Amino acid sequence: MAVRKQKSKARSTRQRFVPSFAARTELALYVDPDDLGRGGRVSSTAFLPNPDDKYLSVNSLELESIETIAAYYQERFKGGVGQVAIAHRKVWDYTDAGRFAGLSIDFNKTVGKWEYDTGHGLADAYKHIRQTRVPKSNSHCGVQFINAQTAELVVNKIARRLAHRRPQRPTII
Amino acid sequence: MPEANVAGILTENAIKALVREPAMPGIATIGQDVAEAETTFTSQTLAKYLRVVNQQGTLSQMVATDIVAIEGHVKDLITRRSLQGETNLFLSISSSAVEGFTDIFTGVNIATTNIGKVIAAVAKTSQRQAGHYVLDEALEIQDDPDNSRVLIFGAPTESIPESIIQNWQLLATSGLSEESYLSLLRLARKSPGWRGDGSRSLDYKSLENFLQFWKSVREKSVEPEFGLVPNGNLRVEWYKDNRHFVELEFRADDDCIFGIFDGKSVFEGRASVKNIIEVLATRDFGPLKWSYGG
Repeated sequence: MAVRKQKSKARSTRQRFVPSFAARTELALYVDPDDLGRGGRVSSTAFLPNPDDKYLSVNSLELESIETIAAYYQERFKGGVGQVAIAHRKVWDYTDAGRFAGLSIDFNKTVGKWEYDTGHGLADAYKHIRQTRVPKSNSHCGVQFINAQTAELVVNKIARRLAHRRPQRPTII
Repeated sequence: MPEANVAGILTENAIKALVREPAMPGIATIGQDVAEAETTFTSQTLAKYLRVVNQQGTLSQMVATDIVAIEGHVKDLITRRSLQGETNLFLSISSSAVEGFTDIFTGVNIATTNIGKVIAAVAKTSQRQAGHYVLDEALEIQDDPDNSRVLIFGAPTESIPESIIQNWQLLATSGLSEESYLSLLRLARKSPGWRGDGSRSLDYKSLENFLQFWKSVREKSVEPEFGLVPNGNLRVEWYKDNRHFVELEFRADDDCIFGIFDGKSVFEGRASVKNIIEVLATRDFGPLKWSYGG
C-alpha cells in the first residue's frame, strides 16, 4: 500500500512537470518594450522567431505561475530589475493561427499530442524544453511550428493573428 | 552681423577630410555637389569662407535668408532635439548664401559666405559648452601635422547607431516628428542579440527603404508606429483597431512584407515598395491615416 502511494505521488509530481498543452491552457510570451504599441497592445513582432530559432520560446502556465515566469523573464531579459510585459495566449490560439496560415496542425489522440506537418512528416507542435542554463525555467516550452525555417509569409500571418485578432492586454508585472 | 570670438579657420586638409566622410554625424560635410565645391573653390577660398566661430551666449534667432534643405519642421526637429540632448545639428546652405551669413544653433556660430552648396552636419552634445569644446577640438586639426584625423569634430559618434548614420540625410529631410525619430533611434540602438541569440540589429537598408517610401506618402499619411523584427528589418504599423490596420516590413532587398486589414478584406503577402504604394493609392491612402485612438 505504502509503495503504491509512493508510486502515485511520484507520478503526480512527474505529471506536474510535463505540460499537457490542452487547447485551453495558456502559454506566456515575453514582450519586449518596443513590441508594445500604443495603448499597450502587443505588436506582431513579439510573435516572430529569431533568425536562428528552431521554435518560438514560450512558457507554460500549466507548470508555473505568471509571477514565477515573470521573475524568469525579468532575470533573463532585464538583468533582474524592472517590469516585464507578458502576452499569454491559449494553445488553441496558436493552433488556430497556424491553421489559418495554412499549416496542418491536429491533435493526435493516440499519442495525446498536437502534431503538425513539417512537409517531411509529422512533428510535435508544442514541446516542453526545460531551460537548464541560468536563469533556469521549468516551464520553458517551444511552439515548434513557429521557427526560422517556416516560410516567412506563414510566420507573419500567424503573428498577425496572435497580435491583432485576439488582442489581450499584456500582463505587466 | 558681427562675428564674435573667431576661433579658427578650417584648413585645406580639414575640408578634404570633411568631403571624404560625408553624411556622418560628428563630421561636417561638404554637401551634395562635392565635386563642384572642390573644383570651384580653392582650399584658400574655402578656408577663408568657411569659418567656425565660437559664440558665447544663448540661442539667438537664425539669420539666414537663403537656406535650403532646412525646412521648417526639420529645423524645429533639430532644435528641439538638440535641446533634449539628442545631439544633432544639421545645416544646409544654398549656393547663393548671403555674405556674412551667420547661423546660431545652441551657441555654435557658423559663418560663411558664397561657398557653394555646403552642408554641415555636426553631432554634439546638448550642452552648449560641450558644443564649444567639440568645435574647438575640431579646429585643432590645424595642429595635426599629418592631418590624419578624419573625425573633424570629436563628437560622440559612437552613440549614434550605424543605421542612423547611413541614413542621416534622409532622416534629416524626412519631416518625421521628434517622437518618431527617437523611436527609430531607440530601435537602431538595439545591439545584436537584443531579443536572444540570433536577433539582429536594425538593417540600415531596411530603414533607408522605409524613408524612401515615407517620402512618397508622408503628405497623405499620419506617422506610423515602429517596430524591429528580430531579423533586423524595420516594421511600421498604422493601427486603428483589431480589424483596421496596416503592417509593412521593409526588407533590405526593396521588397515589403505587408498585411492590410481594412475591415472587409485582408491583403497579405510580399511585394515591391512601388506596388504597395500603388495598392494604397487605390484606397486613396486612407489606411495610412489610421492611428490608435485617432
